[in-house]
Amino acid sequence: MQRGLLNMKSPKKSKGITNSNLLLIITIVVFFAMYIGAMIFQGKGFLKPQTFLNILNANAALIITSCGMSIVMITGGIDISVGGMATLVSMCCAVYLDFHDGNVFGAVLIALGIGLAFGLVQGFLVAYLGIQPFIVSLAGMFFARGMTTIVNTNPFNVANEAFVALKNTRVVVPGLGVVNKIGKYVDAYVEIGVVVALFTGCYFVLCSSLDKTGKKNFYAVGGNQQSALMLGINVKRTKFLAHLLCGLLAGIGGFVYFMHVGSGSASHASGMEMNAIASSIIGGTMLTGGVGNIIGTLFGCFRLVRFRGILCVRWIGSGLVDRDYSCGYAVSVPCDSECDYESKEEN
Amino acid sequence: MCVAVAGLIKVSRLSSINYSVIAKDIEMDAILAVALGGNALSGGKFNMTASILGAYVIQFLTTTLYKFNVQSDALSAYKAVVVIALVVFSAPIVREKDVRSW
Repeated sequence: MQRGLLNMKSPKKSKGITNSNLLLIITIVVFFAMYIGAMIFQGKGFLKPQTFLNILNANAALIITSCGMSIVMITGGIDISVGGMATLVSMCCAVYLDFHDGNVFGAVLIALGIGLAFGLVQGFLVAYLGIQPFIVSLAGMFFARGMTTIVNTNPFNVANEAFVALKNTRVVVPGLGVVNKIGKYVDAYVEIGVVVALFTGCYFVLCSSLDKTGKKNFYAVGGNQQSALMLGINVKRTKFLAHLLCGLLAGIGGFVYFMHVGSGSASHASGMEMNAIASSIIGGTMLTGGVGNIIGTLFGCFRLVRFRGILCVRWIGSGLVDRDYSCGYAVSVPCDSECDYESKEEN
Repeated sequence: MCVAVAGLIKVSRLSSINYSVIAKDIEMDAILAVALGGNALSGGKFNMTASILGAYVIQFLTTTLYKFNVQSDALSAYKAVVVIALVVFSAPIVREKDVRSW
């Protein structure tokens, strides 16, 4: 009884640095430290701004799918079918563009349709039938990868002119160009996919800070479902919306991936779902749900691909990249969660 | 440990190693076998004999699909459909509805 009174009277600590903010700060600091370290120790390539933009070019799809993955993980679920969906979207769009003489607009609609369909089915199974999201999305992943080979067995490059023109469009980033070896000024560029990815990221960051009610629902469901139910939040609809959003973003990400690679193949986007999950976790989202934000995920993405880029330069051509990559994360993720645990104890 | 033994058996049958082929999609088969055996996917119920029976059924399904000239890459799509059907029928809500309709 006295202990209870003591707890009630303890002063409220100022909410300076919360758990997810701490992880976010760590991620941003590590990202900049890695970049500056790479610039100092490996010089040359890393000093050019185009290197950073090339990283964005190659991983625009990952940024988009990570945003969707974060939303699902905040509600406490998971979606490991996003890689398979990207592969299926690439193959279907490639087949549509080449074998059925389609136009690019139709391909975009196909991508969105596939993403929405997967999101709808998985969302329904998870939210309204109460099935484990891991099993549903695992089945979704295998279904998507299997369908890719059923749609078309062999990998091929897309030859549709309109699409190739779209793929090769360079959006010039002013002021970051460099003079190359023959003395010509080369502009720094990004692909259209990067513009889409940054637009999506900004939308979710801004939207989630403006629409407090919607954002609160996702966090409440992820934090404690029973409490959310008692608060009057429609838990089933929130979970359904989360999976639907993730599916839609995975469809968009799949099309951005397709725009980057320009071909259809069953071995595309292998491991993309794991990278998306890793980006979210590095960015401060917890697997148990209820914690996380999109800015953290974006920086988690940058950190992840930067790390991989540095390792690829370091160990050119050998398989040691994966070894260092997994060791790096085996060390840093427990350290992150240690910091999180300590800050929880302080509070 | 079971995974190590499984890897040992797989390699000893083929006398060679090709990491992308040798145990492809085996995790899907394992989950399917356990789900077929009637184990609750959310945990709590467990029956070893049923899981082994489920593994036999899955291998039966795989071999039958091969006889139908299905490519090995496309196999996973059919298995995914079977998994979804299984988990839908074992979901508590669906089971309640079935009991009420009898």
